[in-house]
Amino acid sequence: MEKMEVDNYNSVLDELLQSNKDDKNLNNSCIKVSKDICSSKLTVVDLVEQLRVLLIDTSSEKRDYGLLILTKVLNNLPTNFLNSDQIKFISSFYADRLKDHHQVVPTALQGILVLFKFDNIVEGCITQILQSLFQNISCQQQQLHDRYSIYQIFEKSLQIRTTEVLAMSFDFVYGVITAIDGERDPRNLLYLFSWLPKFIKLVNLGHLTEEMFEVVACYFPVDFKAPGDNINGISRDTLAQALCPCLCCIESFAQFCLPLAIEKLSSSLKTAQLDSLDLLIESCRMFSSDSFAQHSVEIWSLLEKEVLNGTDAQIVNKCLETLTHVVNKLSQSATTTDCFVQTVEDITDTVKGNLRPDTRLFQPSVKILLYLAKASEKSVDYVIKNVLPQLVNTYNITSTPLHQSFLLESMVDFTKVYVEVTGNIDIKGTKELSFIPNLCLKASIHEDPNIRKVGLDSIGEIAESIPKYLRENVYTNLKIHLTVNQHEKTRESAIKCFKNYCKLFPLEVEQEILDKISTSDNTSLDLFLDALCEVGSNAKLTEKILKIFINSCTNCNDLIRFSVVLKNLKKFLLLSGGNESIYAFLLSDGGLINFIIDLLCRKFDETSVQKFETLLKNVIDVLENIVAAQDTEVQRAILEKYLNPAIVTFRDTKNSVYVILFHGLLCRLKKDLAGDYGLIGDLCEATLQTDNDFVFEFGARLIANLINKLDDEKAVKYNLKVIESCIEVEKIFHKRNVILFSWVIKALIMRGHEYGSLYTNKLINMLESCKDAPLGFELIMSDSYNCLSSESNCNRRLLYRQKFFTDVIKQLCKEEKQQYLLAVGYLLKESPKQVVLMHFKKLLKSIVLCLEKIDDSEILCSILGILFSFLESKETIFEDYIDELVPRFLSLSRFQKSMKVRIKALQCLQAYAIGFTLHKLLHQKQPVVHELEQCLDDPKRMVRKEAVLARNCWFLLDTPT
Amino acid sequence: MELENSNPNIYNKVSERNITADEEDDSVVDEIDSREIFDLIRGINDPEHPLTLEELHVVEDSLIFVDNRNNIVKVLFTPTIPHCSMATLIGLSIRVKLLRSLPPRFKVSVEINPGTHVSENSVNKQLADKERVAAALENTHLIKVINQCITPLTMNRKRA
Repeated sequence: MEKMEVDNYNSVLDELLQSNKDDKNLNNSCIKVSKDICSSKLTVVDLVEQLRVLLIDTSSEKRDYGLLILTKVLNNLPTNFLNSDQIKFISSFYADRLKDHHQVVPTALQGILVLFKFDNIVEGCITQILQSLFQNISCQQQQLHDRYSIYQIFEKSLQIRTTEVLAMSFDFVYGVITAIDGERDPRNLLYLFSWLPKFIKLVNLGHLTEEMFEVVACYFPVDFKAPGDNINGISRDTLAQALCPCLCCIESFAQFCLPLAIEKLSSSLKTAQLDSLDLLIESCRMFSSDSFAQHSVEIWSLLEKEVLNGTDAQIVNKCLETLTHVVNKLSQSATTTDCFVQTVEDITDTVKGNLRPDTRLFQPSVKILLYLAKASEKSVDYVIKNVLPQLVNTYNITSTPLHQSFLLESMVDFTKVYVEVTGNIDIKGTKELSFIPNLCLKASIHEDPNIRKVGLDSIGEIAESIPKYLRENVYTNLKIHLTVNQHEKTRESAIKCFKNYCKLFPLEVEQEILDKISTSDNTSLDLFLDALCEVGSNAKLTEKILKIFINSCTNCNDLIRFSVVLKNLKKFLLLSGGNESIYAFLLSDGGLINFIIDLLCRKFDETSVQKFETLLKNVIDVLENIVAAQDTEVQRAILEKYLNPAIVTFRDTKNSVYVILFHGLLCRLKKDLAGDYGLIGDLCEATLQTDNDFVFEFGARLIANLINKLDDEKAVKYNLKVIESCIEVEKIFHKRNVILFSWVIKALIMRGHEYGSLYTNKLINMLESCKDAPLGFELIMSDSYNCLSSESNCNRRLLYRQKFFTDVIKQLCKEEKQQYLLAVGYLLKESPKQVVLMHFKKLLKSIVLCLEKIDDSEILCSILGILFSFLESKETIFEDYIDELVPRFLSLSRFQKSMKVRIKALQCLQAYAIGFTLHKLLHQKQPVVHELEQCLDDPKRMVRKEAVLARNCWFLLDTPT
Repeated sequence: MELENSNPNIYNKVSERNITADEEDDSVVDEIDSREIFDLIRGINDPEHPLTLEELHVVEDSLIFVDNRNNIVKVLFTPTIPHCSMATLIGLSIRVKLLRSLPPRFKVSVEINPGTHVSENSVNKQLADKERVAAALENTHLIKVINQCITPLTMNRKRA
């Protein structure tokens, strides 16, 4: 029986023995063999016996194959399967194989790695393997993958038998150094860099320290350009980041590492400089203060040079960061105290002389001092004692507002650093700083807006350090700042400051500002409410603010005031982000919504609408906002309470103002409440007959919204008939009829209704008979209308605009008539950029014809605008149409009728000159430069400005810079 | 290279020119004035510092004279220090920039503000000599430096 099984094995093995490396079943067969070894049908010894034929063959290929089978079988065995004797035997066998032919070596290396998986590795095995490896293999002559295996063997052996490997002492270190010396592949390097710090920290480098450092340091600074496809995703920065810790992982590297960093810091390559700075920062974490003390002078002089002459902001910032780290390092140890004090004094003395705000070195010098102060408590003390008095003096004798603001800014920066470093917000105790709050306060009421701005910013930033008695003055100032019209930036700062105080001292703000402020006229009310919007999200103040809003409009009859309140309420709702309690408050009986609706119905008719369009727009927005935030039930209740009575009155009075109210109430309803409310016929009539464009516009939008959301197919068709009969009543298409019709088409197309394309064809057929028809295409294409957005719960088919575009463009591009070109122009105006780009080839003819034939400057501008945005984003397709487009731009750059067209055309020419393939542009350089000469003498200054830019761009096209 | 003047005074930049209603009106003709010329050259970079000629007060609005009717433009510039060796280069940059940016009907002269440079006359003479200017522009190294000076920093970034 047993005999038979062994024979069976023979057959599996025989097959294996006959086969070769490329056999597809090799893996499976090996797994099979392993399984049977596990189930003791075969022993490892049997296997080796069988493999004998291969393993001692004269051909290295066969030996390699035999070794491969053994390795694969071992790989599939459980890790505790082999006993220590077996392991010892196999490992010495593998160690021996390293001496074999070079073809066998890769498999042997794989085998060793497989062997390392087993639990019972005994003393001596690893030493034997490593010694054989060091003696027989020259690592850098192996292939990429085998080198990787060798590095893995190093790492694994150190990991599994640390003491044994460490006992090898310098042999191991020397072996590793020799093996990795000269590695060039980024993948292997990345692996090495991540392992080396562990290795270096673990072993005793002894006399090999410098060699070890040199082997790694030769990569610094990393000079590596990732290949175009960069499959393994390794960039220069990844390598640089990995290398940095290797260079400074142990103290004894300091003597080599710091001089290296210092040397490369004065390099002219930006990356080298940045890498050195990173290395210095990283070194601060690892090396002792004493190592730095030796080099502090050198480091400082280099950093000084970089910061003071610096042109590159990135380097300058990194230098400053390094300065903080190095000085902080010096401050840490008692032995380097002298050096620390010396350095801080040195730096302060050198830079102090530059603190005149009218010179170039002022800002960099202040930065140096700030970052120096950041280093430690002692340094911040020293800097503040020595520098601030000088700054305060200079501030007092400077008369230029701009320079004063520079000085004030830097003083506040020092204060902030002080608070940050010492963690002490109370600055009264420090004599030099105690003046600062007062200076800021004075600045905030200075006559110059720049200083006022800086003053306000500062008060806000150091709010916590301003004592109570001064804060009262702040509130008095803020009351004025918030209600007076002033420069935009100053106002921004005032609001920012106000926000900060609301956050830190809400109670004081409520008592001192909110309760006490009084706004007599509408401008100051507007400004005040606008500021309140910004702090609306502050829960402690929300209710108070809402009350202010309501009180300021309900008790007066001034419509302008009402408009102001609504405008800001809209902003408030937007910024505070749908807080339930806010809406409950607004919907309650004493709340705003009653008041708004009542006012709308009582006070307005057709004639007053014109005067208060903004007010009505605000009414719509606020109503929409309120309705949108409610759930279905509340929405239904609102409709019952307000809509139904309004419909009755609307039918009685025919007052078209109700259209506005309906828009506000209906547009944002949830889908469950969608319906026509029997209104569409009345709405059509009202919108087409009103004298007021505003009412018409919103009526049409509401109709579109209702049609889009209507679920019942029968109702849709019925309503469409109603609309059609209204529109076609006179058979002549006025502008309004076309627009209303377009709105309906838009609503249908968005929901993907079958009538959509039918109606679109009607619109295209209208093109020749109706001069306003092209406008419809812009309207349908545009996606900027709220009334059909997803917030209004409308039906929106995915990519409906893209579909409409492709459908329409086929028909429009066939014709060359003016009206069709105009339609293309209007269509392009709102089309998604990607679609236009996709169909650009098809569109090119129409676009070029548009540029040549249309003389409507608005459309020309929009087409040029689209082309410009493509040119700006450097779409490569445009390289192929240089000869079609550039001459048209040139002729439009002299377009008589409108300077805007000339400007746009010139901007397109500018965009063409930068970022496209040079040789494709070059033949146009002469004509462009020549023709633009005329534009330099354009009667309009703004055109000349663009012409100058364009011409200079084309001049620089191929000239060396 | 050691800088000749390492800590020059810097001055404010003027704000962008406000666009007036007249400028937006298609029917009004805007004459070329000194501010417009100033706007053309104020953005030129100093060869030594990452600053513009405007920030160093090398060119100033008040030192530019324009005579539209007789087609004359005259620009005076002030070197930051009297022995500045860059004066000719700065002058050349201004010239080249104006050459490329002004309509050809103008006769442009670029000179040193009297009394602000030690070798004022010789620099002026060089800048006024058409042949020498043309010859200088043939020099690849020189035109490279000039192009760097007159390319606005923003555009450089775009190219890179």
